[in-house]
Amino acid sequence: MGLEDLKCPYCGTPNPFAEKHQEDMRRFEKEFAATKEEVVTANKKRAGRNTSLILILVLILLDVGAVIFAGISSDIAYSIKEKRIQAQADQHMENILALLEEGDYCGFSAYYSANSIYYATSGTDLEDYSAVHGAAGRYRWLLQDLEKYISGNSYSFRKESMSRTCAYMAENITKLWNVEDQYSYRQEIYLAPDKLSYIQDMRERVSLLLQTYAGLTEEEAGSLGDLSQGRIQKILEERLVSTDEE
Amino acid sequence: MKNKKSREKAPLTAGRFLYRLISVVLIAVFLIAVAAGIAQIRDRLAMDDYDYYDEAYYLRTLRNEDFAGLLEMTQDDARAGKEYTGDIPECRAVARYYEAAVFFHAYEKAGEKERAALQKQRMERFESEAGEYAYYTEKIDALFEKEP
Repeated sequence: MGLEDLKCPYCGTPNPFAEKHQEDMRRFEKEFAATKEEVVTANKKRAGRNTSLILILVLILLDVGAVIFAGISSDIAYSIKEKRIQAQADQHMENILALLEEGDYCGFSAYYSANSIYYATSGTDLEDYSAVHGAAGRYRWLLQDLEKYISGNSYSFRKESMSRTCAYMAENITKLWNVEDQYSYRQEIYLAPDKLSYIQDMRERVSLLLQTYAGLTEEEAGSLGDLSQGRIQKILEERLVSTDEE
Repeated sequence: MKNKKSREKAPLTAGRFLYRLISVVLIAVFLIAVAAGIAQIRDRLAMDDYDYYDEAYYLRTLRNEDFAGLLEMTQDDARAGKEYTGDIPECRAVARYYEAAVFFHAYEKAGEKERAALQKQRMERFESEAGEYAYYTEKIDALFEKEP
């Protein structure tokens, strides 16, 4: 009789060894199945955990990238603006030169601001006019104050504001007359003769307007470059009449 | 037919809940950061396109006889390629008239005849361009009559 024979094929006597063997085999199979399931389940769990961790890591990396993107978004916008303006540099140059030739220095200064030219002057011909632009800005603010004064209905020239307005005008006058000091580097470009001629024209106009409308004497108007900012302010405060007093 | 059992959801353990919470937070941070970055770029670029000066603003300033303010607006409103429509060109002409008048009177007083004549020509040109608002040029002239 073999281990597979539960009974003797001849006399039918039960084979206890076969019964034990089959019982053992059933037990072994059951244990094997349970172990197999345990291993499969454990592997599934481990794989699931690994996938979760990888997903979390990927999300963290994406977050870092997104936060960096948000942090440099201003720089990205600046870069896009710069490229847009540089693409139109020739047209801007043409418009700027036309304004300067007309003597429209206020228009020139305003054009720079309105079209954000300062974003893209670096490396272009527009940069050569930096000193002229700096002077034109001071010129424009001075003229705006004088024009407000002439029109007579400005808060800037009421008694309570007069001192501040005169201080502001004095600062602009001083800066206009000392433009060369502010652009001492690359003078040969920024303060080339053609550029200086525009700046000089602005100074002459301001001198004339201050004599006409702010009551400066010819001598005072002619020596604005030599006067201190404080002295200029004092002169303006003495000569300008507040709108309250008119 | 799939085994119904396999479609049953696994129980929500503490670890699973934490994982889901962290995932949601990280996804939210990503979306918010990207949206913020895009909005920042869009807003910065749109700032250049924003047009402060419309017809109503021009006319209000003109009717207030704030000629200095009108001139300042005319100069500031200098976007390349912009088309001025409605009554804006006339308002701008009045502003330019004022500007020319400021220089005309200064040159005249200083005895610079040629420059004064040039400014006078500009005044006449802008007066004709001011159209129905040309009568404001009389108010501008009056400002200089009271100058000392």
